[in-house]
Amino acid sequence: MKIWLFNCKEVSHLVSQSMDHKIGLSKKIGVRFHLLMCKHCARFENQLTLIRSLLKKSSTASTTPKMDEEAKKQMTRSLKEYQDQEQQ
Amino acid sequence: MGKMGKSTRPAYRGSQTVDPEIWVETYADSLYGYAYVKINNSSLAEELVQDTFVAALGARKNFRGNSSEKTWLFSILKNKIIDHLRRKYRDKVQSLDTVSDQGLDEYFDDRGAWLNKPGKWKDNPQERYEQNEFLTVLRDCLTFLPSRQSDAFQFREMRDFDSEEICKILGISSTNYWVVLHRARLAIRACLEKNWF
Repeated sequence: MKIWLFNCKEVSHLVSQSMDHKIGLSKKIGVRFHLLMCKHCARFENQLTLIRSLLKKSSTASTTPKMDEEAKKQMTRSLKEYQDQEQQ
Repeated sequence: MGKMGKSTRPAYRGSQTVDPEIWVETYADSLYGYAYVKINNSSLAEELVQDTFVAALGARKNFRGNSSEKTWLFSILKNKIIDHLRRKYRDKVQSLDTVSDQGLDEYFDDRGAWLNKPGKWKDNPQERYEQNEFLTVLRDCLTFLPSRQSDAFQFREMRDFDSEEICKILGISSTNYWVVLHRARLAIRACLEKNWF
C-alpha cells in the first residue's frame, strides 16, 4: 500500500476506524502525514473527537441511577424463594 | 449439596451458599447503573439484574474464584444485555436494507477528495446550555440516519458498547461495522456543521 498517497476518502475512513480500534503502524504514519498537509481531514478528526468528548461529558454529568429500594427488597425475596426451591 | 448447613455469611470463593440479601445490597446498584446506561429503561434494567442474580445462583458451583465475584456478576450481566438487544434488533435489522452502504459518492469525488470540505467550527461549546443545545441538534441529526447507522452510532458513542459487542447485537460483520459507523459519522458531522456550528 502506498501510504504516502492516501486520499481524503481513505484517510477519513482510517480516522474513523482508529477511534474504535488500533490501526497498523504504517497506516497510522500515512494518516498522520496526510493530516499534516490536509486541514479538511484534520478538521474531520478534531470534530469526531469533539463529538465524542461532548457526548461523554453529558453522560458523566448525569449521576448513575440507583435501583429503587422497593425493587431491591422484592428482588431479595424472590431470590430467596428461588434458592429455597432449588435446595429442596 | 446436602452437607453444608445454612449460613448467613456471604459465600465467597469455594463455598456454595449465598445470602441473596448481601448480594443485592452489595451489587444491585452498580449492576443496575451499568444496565441502565446501556438499556435506558429502568424496569428492564431491574429485570436484567434480577436475571443475572438468578443465573449466578444457578451457576455458582461453576464459579471458581478466578475472578472476583463482582467481575463474574458483571460478565453475566453483559451477556444478558447483549442477548436482549440482539433479540430486539434481529427482527428490525433484517427487515431493513442489507448493507448497501458501499459507495461514499455523496461525500467524495472519484479521486477520493472531499466534495463538501469539512469547515471550521466555531469554538467548542463550553457552557452547559450550549452543550445541551448541541445534544439536541445531535439527536435530531440521528433521526435522519438510516436506523442501523443511528443504532450503531448510539451504541458506540452514547452507550459505551465496544465494536465487538455491537457486531453481535446488530448481527453484522466487523467489515460492515466499519462501513456503517463511518457513514454514520460522516452524516452526523455534516448535519452538525449545517445545523449547529
